[in-house]
Amino acid sequence: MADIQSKIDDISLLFASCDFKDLVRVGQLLSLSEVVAKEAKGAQKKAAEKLIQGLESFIMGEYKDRNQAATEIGAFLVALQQRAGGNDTEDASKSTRMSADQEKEIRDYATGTMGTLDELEQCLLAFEKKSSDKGLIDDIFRMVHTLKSETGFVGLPHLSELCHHAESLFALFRKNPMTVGRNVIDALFAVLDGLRRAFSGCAQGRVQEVLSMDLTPLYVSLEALLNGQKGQKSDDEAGSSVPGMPSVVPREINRLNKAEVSDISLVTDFINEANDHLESIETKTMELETDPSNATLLNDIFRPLHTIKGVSGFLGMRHVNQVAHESETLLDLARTGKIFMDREGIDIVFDVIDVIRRLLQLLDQEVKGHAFSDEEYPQVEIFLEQLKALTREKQAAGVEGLSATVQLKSNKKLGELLVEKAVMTQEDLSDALATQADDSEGRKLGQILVEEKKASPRAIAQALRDQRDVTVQTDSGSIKVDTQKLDNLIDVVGELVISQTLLAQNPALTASRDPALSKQVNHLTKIVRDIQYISMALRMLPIKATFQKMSRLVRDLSNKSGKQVELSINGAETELDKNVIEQINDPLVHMVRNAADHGIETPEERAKAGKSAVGRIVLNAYHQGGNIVIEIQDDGKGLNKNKIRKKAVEKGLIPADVQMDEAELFNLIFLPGFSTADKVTDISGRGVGMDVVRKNIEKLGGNVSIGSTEGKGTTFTIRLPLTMAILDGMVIQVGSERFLLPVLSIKESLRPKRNEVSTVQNKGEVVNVRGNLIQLIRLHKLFNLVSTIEKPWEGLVIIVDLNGRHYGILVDGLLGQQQVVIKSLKAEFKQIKGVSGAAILGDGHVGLILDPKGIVEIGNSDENSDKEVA
Amino acid sequence: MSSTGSTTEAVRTGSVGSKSGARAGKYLTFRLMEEEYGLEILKVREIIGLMDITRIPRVPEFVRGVINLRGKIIPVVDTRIKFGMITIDNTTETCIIVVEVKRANESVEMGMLVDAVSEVLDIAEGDIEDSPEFGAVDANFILGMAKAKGSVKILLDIDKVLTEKELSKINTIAVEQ
Repeated sequence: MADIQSKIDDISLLFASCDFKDLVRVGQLLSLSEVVAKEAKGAQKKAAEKLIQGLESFIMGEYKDRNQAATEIGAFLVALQQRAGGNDTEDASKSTRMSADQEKEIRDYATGTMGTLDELEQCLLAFEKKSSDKGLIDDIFRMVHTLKSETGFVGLPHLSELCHHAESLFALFRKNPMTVGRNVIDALFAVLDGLRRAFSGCAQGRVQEVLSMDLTPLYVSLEALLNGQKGQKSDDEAGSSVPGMPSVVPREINRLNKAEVSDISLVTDFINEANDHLESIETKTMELETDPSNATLLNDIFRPLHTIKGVSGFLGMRHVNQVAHESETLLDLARTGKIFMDREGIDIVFDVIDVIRRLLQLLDQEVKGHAFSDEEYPQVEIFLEQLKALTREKQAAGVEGLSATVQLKSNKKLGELLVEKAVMTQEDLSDALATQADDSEGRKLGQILVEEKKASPRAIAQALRDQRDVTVQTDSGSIKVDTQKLDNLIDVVGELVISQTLLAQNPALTASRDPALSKQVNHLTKIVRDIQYISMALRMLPIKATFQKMSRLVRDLSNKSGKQVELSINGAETELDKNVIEQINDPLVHMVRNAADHGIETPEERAKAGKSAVGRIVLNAYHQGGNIVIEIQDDGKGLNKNKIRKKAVEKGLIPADVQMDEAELFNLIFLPGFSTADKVTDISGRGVGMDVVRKNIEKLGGNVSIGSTEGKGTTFTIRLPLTMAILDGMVIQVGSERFLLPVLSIKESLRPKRNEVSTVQNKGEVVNVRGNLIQLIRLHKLFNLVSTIEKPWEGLVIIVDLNGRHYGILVDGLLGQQQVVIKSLKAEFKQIKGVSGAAILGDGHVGLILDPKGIVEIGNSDENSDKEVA
Repeated sequence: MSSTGSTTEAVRTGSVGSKSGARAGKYLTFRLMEEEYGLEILKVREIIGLMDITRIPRVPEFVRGVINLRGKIIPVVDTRIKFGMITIDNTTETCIIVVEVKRANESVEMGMLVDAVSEVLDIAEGDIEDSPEFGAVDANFILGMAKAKGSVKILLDIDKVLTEKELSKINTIAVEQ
């Protein structure tokens, strides 16, 4: 007894001199307390155990505040001292620190883990030789991490702690691979030996002995190394924010560096999934705005937010968690009808989306190894205060305690999942729920379960994920696939189609009179076409998401400008190639912004013009003849032809006396020079960046046109190919070569009469097409090909349209129209003028895709150089 | 213990492309006119028979064109022209060696049109000598000269034969034309 008393005194002394910054001291405290707990009995033992628990949770970083930790742990210590004299007689078998079951579990675990240690040893040996090998470091890191969580789980806290230190060290190496010295390797091997001793002890059934093993020297050496390495690192990157340095900013990230969330893939998964959730939240919030009390919508917003909250909390992303939590509280009040989601409420939900998105983006950056500066980090604390203030404001009196019950309700799902997965029993769940209900700290169910060792952190994370997966599945039932894999599939399918065609056209087969054979070939043909169709459709996505982003944009714009603008969307289900969708976003944003900013008038002006005060912008998407058409329509003031004309003349873009039709006039706003129009005129800004818009759309192989009636509104019509990957091409022949010309660019093809072709200055040639003189470009000359056809009236002239000007390209003949999969040429061929890519023709040969614009350019430059020579 | 595996790996990767390092290893040899050349076997993807090559306009002469390699389009270099030899008509032995060329950050597949593929040779370090300074000949892309089976094989450093700089000429020439 006296022995215990003196140890308790030692603990008190150590505690008094310990400032809780020094983890080694805390470690000593812990091991001393463990000795006491082992030797003491009854209430004293319980108090000691309580103390151990407190110390452990401090070491694991569960206390947010060091002072708070000190106070609490101090209280446990006082309790232990008070019990010192007491001699409660409790059932000894019940209070034995380790039950027989648990011992057996540890023994089994230790036996099974010896192999891991061997593996670890081999990795360490390799590491000794090549300490900068990133793959190796990752391997070791993972192993140590697994050991850490497993030992923690089976009830070997000091081993877990040791592994934690080793893990931190490797987390550092991982971030910053370096050549390590002899001392590091020695220390690591010492740790390994320690673990080995402990595990073999456990395996032989000496669990109690192992539990009292003194691992302090190992901690100390690791800790010293860790500090040393960190120091070295901050020397290397003088000034930049390094882990461990007190910094206001990377709070979230610091947690990551501490290797508490050491499984980076968990984090990146979460970032991706959370972004998806945010998108759906955003969409639903848009809808909520028109129907603020719709319970289904509120639920739809609440659920993904709750998932984000749960997982982020588990991964230790404090800010994401807090923001999600606070907004959840607000939404929950709305959901249960306690408050009404007015404009202010919806605004803050949008802000929540933006803040979380920003945090995730920074986190993603950090995970990928790019640091970010303090300024980039959002002002989360301030935002949280705003959010809380708003919630308080909205919340009527008498709704206290609401959040607790709701948490219980929603968390129950997590518990049910865990029971279902046989991670724990129903009793465990009810116990934990009861604990949670009594819990003053407001701990989460998952947290309680982990603390009570009822479930491993991994199981909880998995369950949280499942919980979310269920929602995702019911939503769309989709999976994510690497686009590279899709492209490969499409490549192979293309080859399959070619092989199939060659087979079907094989003379041996066509000559065969076997009806069964031809039937089978026909069947195969059908299946192959189906496969081709399906594989092409894989890349297609509805344009919905892009359109919905526009509604957010219009909403923000109308708020800012004080105009009332309403956006309606038609044909959001229209599917486009993913590439096209991604690249059409910017031009769309631009045009919608223009429509809202400059097209729609102020309410007063609208009233004067006899229109309703609310302006309308309509987004339309539909298929038309193998193309996708997107329209942006507004009922604003329309384009003023006279002003455009005046402006263009002023800028010197057109001669003052030129005759232009409406379409040509409108097209002027796409000219680069036009965008710098005077700000004060009515049409100002209408052209800002429109040249870029047109360029982007043309890059996608599409075009854009304008229709406008003054006073009534403007419509922009964008025509795009279904996919960037497929080209509708005209196969043309020149000499022995075949080329593809995009059908979209072809106006017509004709064989001119001899008298319709004339030369200019004996060099340039023009063709007279119904009175219009069109410049003739000889493709064979341009590409240095041997062609049998020298005279235009023996060949074929293809008229192409380039920004409204027509050019004639002389070819030998047309072979037919074909849809081909575009393959880009390797980087070194990308800049070949006149060739935009290549494709595989029906017979498996490669055909080059011609770029009419480039051809015209070479044609012109060749002509110029000829003239100079002449 | 089992750390040896990664060590040999390291040695091997270290040797590739360095003149002073171990050049010994397996080489695929091919014939051009009367000369024998060797390519590191690890750089060779496959050997295919001659197929129709689609010419590309306005590129340097040594780029024969592009071919369809099971759905992938890859350029083919006429090795004879590249090495300044006279061209001959294709024979039944003419074939295309598909090699993998390292770029700044990616590897690119390319075809090399050669007269004939000979065999795969195991060449010992002792049989390899540094290439003499020829003066007129650009010896930059020669790893070394190997004596094997009574003749001299010219070992090529394929990454240097088809360097980025070389290929960027394609564009400049196209513009000059």
